[in-house]
Amino acid sequence: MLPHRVDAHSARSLRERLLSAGVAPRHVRRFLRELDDHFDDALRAELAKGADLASARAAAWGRLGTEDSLAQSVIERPELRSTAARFPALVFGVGPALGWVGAPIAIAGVLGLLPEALRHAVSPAELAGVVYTLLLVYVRLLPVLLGALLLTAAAERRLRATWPIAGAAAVDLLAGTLVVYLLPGQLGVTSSLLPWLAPLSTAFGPKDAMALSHGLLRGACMLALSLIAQRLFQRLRGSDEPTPTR
Amino acid sequence: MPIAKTNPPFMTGVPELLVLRLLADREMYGYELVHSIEAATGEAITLGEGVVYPLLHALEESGCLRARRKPVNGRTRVYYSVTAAGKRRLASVLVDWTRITRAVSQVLQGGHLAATSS
Repeated sequence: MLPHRVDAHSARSLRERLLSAGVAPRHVRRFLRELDDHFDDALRAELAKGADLASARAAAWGRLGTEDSLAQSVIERPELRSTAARFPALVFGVGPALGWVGAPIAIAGVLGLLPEALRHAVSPAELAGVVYTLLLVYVRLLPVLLGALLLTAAAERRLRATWPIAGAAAVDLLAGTLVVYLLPGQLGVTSSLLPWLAPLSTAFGPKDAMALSHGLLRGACMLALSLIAQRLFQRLRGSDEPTPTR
Repeated sequence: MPIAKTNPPFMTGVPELLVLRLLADREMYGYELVHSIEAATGEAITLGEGVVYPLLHALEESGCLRARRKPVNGRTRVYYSVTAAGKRRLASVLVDWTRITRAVSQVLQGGHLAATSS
């Protein structure tokens, strides 16, 4: 006999209530799976007592509790809330921007720890080519994927998209205004934003309004691509999860 | 944890104590645990069957329980067992429970009058 499941409408309604209250998705998924198992056990027990299927289903559901009591029993436990629901500004806003900025610093630190011989295993020209490719991925592809990931995570948790969009926009602003170049014997990165952020310093080069506007446009395009990627991902999954509230 | 209407309101904390105590003997899954509590208490204590899971998740989150999936009769069930931290928690809750029940019993039996007057 196939396992019996909690009524799909009740399960969906309970899932929405729990996610909207900030309960971590992993707890919601497991809770619903365990309720299904419990329901199946209870229903088999009722059937074994001689009840017909309809009354066994009603009795099994009654033993589990009302939807209100089930939802309340989870929601009232703060330890089951997700970190993202507790600290959305940190998880979706500040965290991604700091992570994106910090990642190459950490990688450079790790590379610096490599033995001298290993670092010189490839020729400077080959190394420049590899680093150039990685930098392009870092400033053009990674921010788009990161933005899509943030929006997807927020949608899964039924959180407002304000902080994910802010976090993704911050990364896109920084990344979009960066330009990576590779000339013979020279690999570099320039920012059209930094001269405007440090107006009294000439260390970051001259202010170039045209370059900045191109960078901002690139950043806006990257944010738009993140939103499109998140929608596509949602559609591919066939998920009924709503797009986060804007 | 919300408890069935048949249980009096001073039962706060009792489900945690019972869950830790029964799982200290052997690992169980939720349905089995609910019915073990009913059987062990002679049905004097009945938990809302569905609401035992948030308690189990919370105890696991605090490191008192460990959960593992185990295939049984073609189905995968989540079994819970008590960790070392859970055993320490059980010992601590047990001490509190014993102290409180002893004090309440003393009051109910009139022992507090002798203690107050001496």
